[in-house]
Parts: sequence; structure tokens; C-alpha cells
Amino acid sequence: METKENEIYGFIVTRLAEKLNRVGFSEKDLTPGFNLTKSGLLDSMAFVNLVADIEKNYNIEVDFEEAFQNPDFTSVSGLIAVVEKQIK
Amino acid sequence: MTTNNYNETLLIRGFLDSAGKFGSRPALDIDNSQTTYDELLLIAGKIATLIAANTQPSQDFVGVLADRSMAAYSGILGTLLAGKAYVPLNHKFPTERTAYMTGFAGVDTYIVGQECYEYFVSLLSKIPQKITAIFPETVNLHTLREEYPQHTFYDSNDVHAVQKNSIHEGGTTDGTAYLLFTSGSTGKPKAVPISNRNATAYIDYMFGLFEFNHEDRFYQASDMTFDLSVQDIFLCWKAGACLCAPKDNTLAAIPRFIKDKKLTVWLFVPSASLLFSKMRLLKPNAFPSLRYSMFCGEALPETTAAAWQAAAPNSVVVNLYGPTETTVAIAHYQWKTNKEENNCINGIVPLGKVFATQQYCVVDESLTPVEKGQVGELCLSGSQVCKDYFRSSEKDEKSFIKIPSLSDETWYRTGDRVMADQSDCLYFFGRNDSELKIKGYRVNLLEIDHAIGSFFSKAVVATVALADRDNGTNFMVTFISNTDKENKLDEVAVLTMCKQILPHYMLPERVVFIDEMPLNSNGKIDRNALIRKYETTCL
Repeated sequence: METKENEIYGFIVTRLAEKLNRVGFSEKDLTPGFNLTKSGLLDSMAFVNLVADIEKNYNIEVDFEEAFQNPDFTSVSGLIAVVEKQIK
Repeated sequence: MTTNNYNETLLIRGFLDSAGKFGSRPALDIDNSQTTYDELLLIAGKIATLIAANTQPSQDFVGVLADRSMAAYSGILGTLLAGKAYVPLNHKFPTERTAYMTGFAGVDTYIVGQECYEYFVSLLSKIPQKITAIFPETVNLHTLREEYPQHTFYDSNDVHAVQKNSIHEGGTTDGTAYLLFTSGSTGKPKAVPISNRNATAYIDYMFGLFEFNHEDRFYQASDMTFDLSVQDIFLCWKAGACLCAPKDNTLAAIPRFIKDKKLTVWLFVPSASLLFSKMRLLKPNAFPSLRYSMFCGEALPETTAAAWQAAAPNSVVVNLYGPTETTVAIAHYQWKTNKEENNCINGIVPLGKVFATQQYCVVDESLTPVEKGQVGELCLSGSQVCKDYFRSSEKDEKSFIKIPSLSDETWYRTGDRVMADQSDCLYFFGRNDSELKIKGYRVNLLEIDHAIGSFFSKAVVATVALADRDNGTNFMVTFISNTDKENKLDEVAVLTMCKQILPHYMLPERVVFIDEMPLNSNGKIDRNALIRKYETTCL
């Protein structure tokens, strides 16, 4: 993984650590293909809240309408890709 | 197709009339594939024939296990054409709950969508009796037939091969049209039978109240286990309009769907717009195609109504109110474009006026009607109000009552606290008891306590609801005081076990173990103390 990707990934893991713990997932589950909503970890609102926190941290704005066109947006790698594109 | 006695008080009537007038127009738009009224009626008629041939005349119910598919809509129409009532089933619910529902209703005929095939297979192991299952969209059922020779299965070829398409147009005015389950205080869901009379009273009134037409495009937003879907589906077909169902019904995909499909009628729970607003999708004129934006299912904040009016400037914004027992909605309030003209109390949009065809009264604890301007419990009566719960227990008498000072009518106690002003406009003041709305679903906290209590032999369980600080949505926290040292269940274990028996919207966000349950002066669990405890120590 490139550094930027790693950094965003780290942010997501830290942000979700407590939640993961609580519902019986572990950090190891957060593989690139892991889907944050379809897995039942987050509902739509919680997912959007996560993205909002990422936006704040990196001072970016995600185009949700476009992003949700891609069903992969809610996967770990899909989310990272969208964020990375915005940062650049 | 033969139809006999024309009965305008059947829920199916609106569809049949529209099929007569608009046969070649689209009735359905699912995932970009359109189905005309004629085509849908043909399939529904074939399904009705199979239902009639496989179901005892004494059997009232058919389970429809499908999600926004051709099987779902042709299934409910076929069921009604056969003179039966549909019991919507949800593949997002735990199979235990679905098995309880079908067992309680005595369902032995099912319509199953391809999207629910796997779910149905796991449900089958929990069904003891012989059943018939019709799969309108599934080609190959060899495996099922081999594994379950005792049951009867019809695949899509069998459905299409049905030649005899005689529609009994059975069903009676007072017969049940659909059976829905709501959260119950006894720890088991209560079954609400809505009759054809109840349902048509609602649909006809709504149809007269607003101006829908055959060019409208309705959004099929709610799951069929939620009664807002009854409006989506049957008001749409009454108008001869097109029902649009998204393949991906995640909340986040809704705004794009409204735009792409140029939808004109939208009905949903208010909390969804919090999400859209967070996604910056509730911009001015974001949804120009909408003619009607309707909200129902929970209190509508005035900020939501105003934001939606700006986002959908060509639409009439309507707040609907009604418990499942009174058929989808029984009061309406039309939002005034100028925000200040709306007389909101506590930032909540009024519930508005009870439909002119129905009756209301506001009573105090001794069931004596109170003066206008006073807050009390709302009671409802009329042709939209169901008579009783299906297979009700004695406890349910508390819900369907007589009010001594009024006529001999049966009144439904809503548990909602309201105030009526001089013009009979109703204002919402919260719930009477421990029921509340989570994401639009009615949840009884006692039912959750009951479910979690069953994991322990010596524990006191109390669930409380809190409002999220950021967005005001409700979430639940369950407190457990466990004195059984042998039982070492922790938060993760309890939440995991909850998922086996409770639907997703009834899952607590957190489970907190405490040494002692706080009690108030009456010896009741002090839920307010629990809320304070959570806010001070757990956040």
C-alpha cells in the first residue's frame, strides 16, 4: 500500500476501533474488500458520519451522489479510493 | 377473465379499475424494467389460480416473502384476487421472527421472490407443517423438491403454464386484506388485521384529498412489512400511475433514484432527510420532479419540512399521522411554504386534522374527554380503525376500548399524547408509554427487555432510548443487572444473541452491565436515572 492509502486506512481503523470491538469484529476484518455497510457493521447514517469525519480531517468534500453510484464505495478500499482522489 | 359482483370496498378494486382504463400503461418500474397493468394482471391472475387450488377456503392468509420484485407485487395482487389476505414477510428479519409470524397467522401458502430464495430455505427448517410455495421468478426448484418432498413447489414455468385464469375476486368488505405485525408490550409482536373496508376507506380518502393521476410516478420506498408501503402501492395503482422500485434501496441511493426516475410522489420517514442533508443532497431545487413529498411514521421536525420544501419546491409537503391499527394514516397537515405560518410546537410540525370520515377524541387517564387546548391521549374511531388484534389476548382490551361518555363505538387508544386546538388541528406531545419510533419503526422498549431478559436467569433488564447529540435520531441502550455469577455473557455476546431474534431496528446500540438497577420512589426502574448514567459515564 502507498503511504497515503495507509494513512487513510489508519484513520478509518482508529475511528471504528471502539465500534468494531463492541459488535464482535476485529481490526483484522477490515480488509480492502470488507464492506462497511453490507457487513452490518454500520448503517447508512453511521457510514455517512464516518465519511463526514474523514472530510473534516482531510479538509475535503466528497460528492456523495456520485460516490454512491459505485456499490464499492462502502467497502474499505472503495472508500479509501474516493477519499484519496479528493485529496489529490 | 371473469369477474363477478363488483365490490368497490375491496383493496384490489383500485388496481382492477386502473387495469381496465390504463391496461397498456406501466404499473411497475423495477430496476429499469417496466411491466404494464395488463401484464401484471395476467401474472397475478395465474398466481391467484394456484393459490385457490392449493389453499383451503378456511385459510385466510398467504405469506409474501419478496422484496421489491415482480414476485412481490404480483404476489400481493394474486393473493387479493384469490380472496385471501397477504402477510408481508421480510428477509431482513431473523428467521425466528418470521417463523413466529407465519406460525401465529397459520400461513401455509407462500409467494417467494428469487431475492429471498436462500432465506426461504433457512425458514423451511422452522416450518413443521406441509406448505405450498410459489416462485413466480425462479426457474429451477429441483433441489428444493428433492430435499422437501412433503411440500408443493411451483416454479416460474408452472406459473406461466396456468391456463385457467378465473378470478374469483373473492374477499369480502370485512375480510382481512393484509396482516401486519407491530411491536407489543407482552414481549411478542401483535398482529394487526386490516380489512378491505379499512384499507379502501384510507386509499379513497387520500385519493380524494390530493390530485394524483396516471402520469404520476410513485416511489416504493418502504418495506412491505411497514404499512407506508400500502400507500405507495395501492394509492399508486388507484391512480393508474407507475410504481417505481429501486434495486438498491439503501437510504443513500434514494436521492439519485428520485432524480433518475423523475419521481412525482414520495412518502417516507423524516429521519431519512437528516441523512440526505448530511450528504449535502438536500440543496434548493434538488428534486424538481416531486409533486407530493409526504412524511409519516415519526414526529416531523419543522427544519426537515422547511429544508424539504426548498429541495422540492414544486411539491406539496404533507405530514401524515396514523398508527398501523388505523390504516397507514388518519390525519394530515399540509406544510405552508412560508415557514412562519406553520404553528409548530417544540419545533414539531402539527399532526393536522383527522380525516373528515373518521373520529377522534382526546382523553385523560380516566378516559374522560378533555377540553380543547388540553393535552391528553388520542383515541380514534371510524371505518379505518381495525376492530381488534388478530388472536388477541386479554391485555389487548387496553388498546380497543369504549369511552363511557361517548357513543357505543370502539375506540383505539393510540398511546400518543396530543393537544387539539379550536380548529381541530392536532399537535404531538410525545408517547404515553414506552413505545417509540426508531428509524420510523415502532419499537416497544419492553419487548427488547423481554428478549434480552430471556438470556439470563437472574437479571433485571431495562432499555432506554436516547437522542443522538448530533442528529437527534433515537437510539437504544440496554442496562443489565445480572446476579447470576455462572452466567458470563458480555456485551458482544448479548448483541450477537439479539441479532438472532430481533429485527435490526430493535437492536440496542450499547449493552451496559451495572451492579444495581436504580429504582424510583414507586419502586419502578428509574429509566431517567439510567439515561443520566449513560450520559455521564458512557459517552
